[in-house]
Amino acid sequence: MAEEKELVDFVSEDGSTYQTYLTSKMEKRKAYKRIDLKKIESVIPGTVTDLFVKEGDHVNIGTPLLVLESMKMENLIKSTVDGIVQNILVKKGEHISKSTVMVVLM
Amino acid sequence: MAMENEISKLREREAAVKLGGGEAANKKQNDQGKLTARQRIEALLDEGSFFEYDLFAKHEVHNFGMDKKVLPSDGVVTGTGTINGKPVCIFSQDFTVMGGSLGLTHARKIAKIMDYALKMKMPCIGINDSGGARIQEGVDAQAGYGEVFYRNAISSGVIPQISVILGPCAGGAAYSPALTDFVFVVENISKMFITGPAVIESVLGEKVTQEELGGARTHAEISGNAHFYALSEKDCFEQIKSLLSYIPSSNDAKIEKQTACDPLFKGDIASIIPNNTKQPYDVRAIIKAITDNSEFFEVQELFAKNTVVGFGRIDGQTVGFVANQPLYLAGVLDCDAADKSAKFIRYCDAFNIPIVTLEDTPGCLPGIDQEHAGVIRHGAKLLYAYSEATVTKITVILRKAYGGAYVAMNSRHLGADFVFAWPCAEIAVMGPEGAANIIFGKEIKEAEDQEAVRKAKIQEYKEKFANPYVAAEKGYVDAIIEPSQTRKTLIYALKLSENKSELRPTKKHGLPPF
Repeated sequence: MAEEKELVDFVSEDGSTYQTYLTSKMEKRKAYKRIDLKKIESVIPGTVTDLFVKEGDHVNIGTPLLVLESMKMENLIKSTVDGIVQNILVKKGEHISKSTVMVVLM
Repeated sequence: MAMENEISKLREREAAVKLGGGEAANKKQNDQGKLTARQRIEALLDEGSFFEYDLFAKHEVHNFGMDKKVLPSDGVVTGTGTINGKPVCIFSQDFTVMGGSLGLTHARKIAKIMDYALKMKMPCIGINDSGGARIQEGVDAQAGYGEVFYRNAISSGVIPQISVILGPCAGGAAYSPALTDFVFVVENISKMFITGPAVIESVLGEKVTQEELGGARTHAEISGNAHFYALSEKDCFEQIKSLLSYIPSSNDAKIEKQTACDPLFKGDIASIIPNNTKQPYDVRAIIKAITDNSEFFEVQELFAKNTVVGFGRIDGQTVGFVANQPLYLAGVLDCDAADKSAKFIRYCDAFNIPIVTLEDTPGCLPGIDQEHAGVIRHGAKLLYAYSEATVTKITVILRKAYGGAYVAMNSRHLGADFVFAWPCAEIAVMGPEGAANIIFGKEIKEAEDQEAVRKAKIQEYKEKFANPYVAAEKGYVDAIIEPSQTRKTLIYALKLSENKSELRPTKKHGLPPF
């Protein structure tokens, strides 16, 4: 199959620059992002069936934040840090996809 | 008198070489919370059991002023010894000698002890603490790595191979551990990567620390390269000793049977599972309610937590447990969980360790990322590993066994020797909600009170299919057992299958999905 992409400069491990095509996986890759423990993200898609905190609440490591029902299971989502609830970005009954920020702590 | 002189000369020579990179370098190593190569061997092996080979090994390199460099033992200590009385081969790279860099002599010492381990059928333990290839040796350094990799592959499945990462293990060096059975890492000490943060920044412009990129926690939790994570070298050595107590010295050696003892757990095993089937629980509590002394030695505890694998004993005999973990991601199967369990199953099969599968899974994890990551070929590894295994394979269906996951988790159809189910088991092609919506979609749509009809149909499906009896009628489940009888039943099944022998068609090797 003829390659319709353009050759690009690519710096390789030995420091030299090559003219080469990029694979589509390489083109679509997302840059590395450090995990922010204060942003509680869903690791699985599901439905928020219960919320236990409101904005301004103090939470500790292990404080239950909400229930995310997914794959026939009620998953209790707990805080992984000590902090104050700054923002709740989901509603009870809302269906969310993976990697949705649900609660922001400060 | 002449002999006494010679002996004292020998002792002087030995003492000089055993100092490695010298007192200052050794102190620096200790100050970083790291033991030296020799201290590590002493801490891991039975006292006084170490016998060293090639203490006086010397490199033969003349380029770049290397002819003037004295590298004691060429930067690696090799030998044999015992752990809990069992013979092992060991090598330990000495970071104080030119950064533990690997040259040809260094590699040949490692290769020699690996050959010995394979020939004498004993575990081989490698302690890695090296800056990488000894650049001054050119292609000889690469040749050295290749010789080690080759032996790792050839010894695979014959003798247990254990890698302990106690320092940097970067570039090509990282592949040897990946070819071995179990990799141990220690917080703040282990660093593994193919290309380091500096190269990543220059090529991709992304900043990352060594710890984030390839620290102990990263490999234990995210990449899955490590199997055991410890907070100190001392704890790490205790983990290695525990592991060795569960596994045989080679694929044709018997595992020492320990004295059988009852579980410490005395309660009602059934009560561990919540009445509400939507409530999660920790499947490790079920394992500990079954095993001798309630002991469970978990492998890859932090990686793919939705599946639990590890060793325990039942009636004194080592078994490998593979279990879905409802506590994480509802116990679904995904790419990582399949990789983790498939490798463990193949390990158990290679070393004749019976496999007990505890099943409670709602199915596979839906997701675009999963599909694009190749969940099909990853999941296929699990099917392959279970089907290929000829060791005793027992399944207990605790609760949910839905869809393809039912087939994958050592079902009768993949050659399970025994399949038991608890009375609360739900074995069906899909969950009642989904199934009712498909089968009775038209009826529900046309009903006046749709919700009431939907509920009734879900209940109807549940009663008809979401139970263990349909599978039991067809012989897919051998017996429905009361939870309290689980340990007794497993002891019986293990005893019964002690002399199991199952032959496969002769072939060069199979082609497991990668």
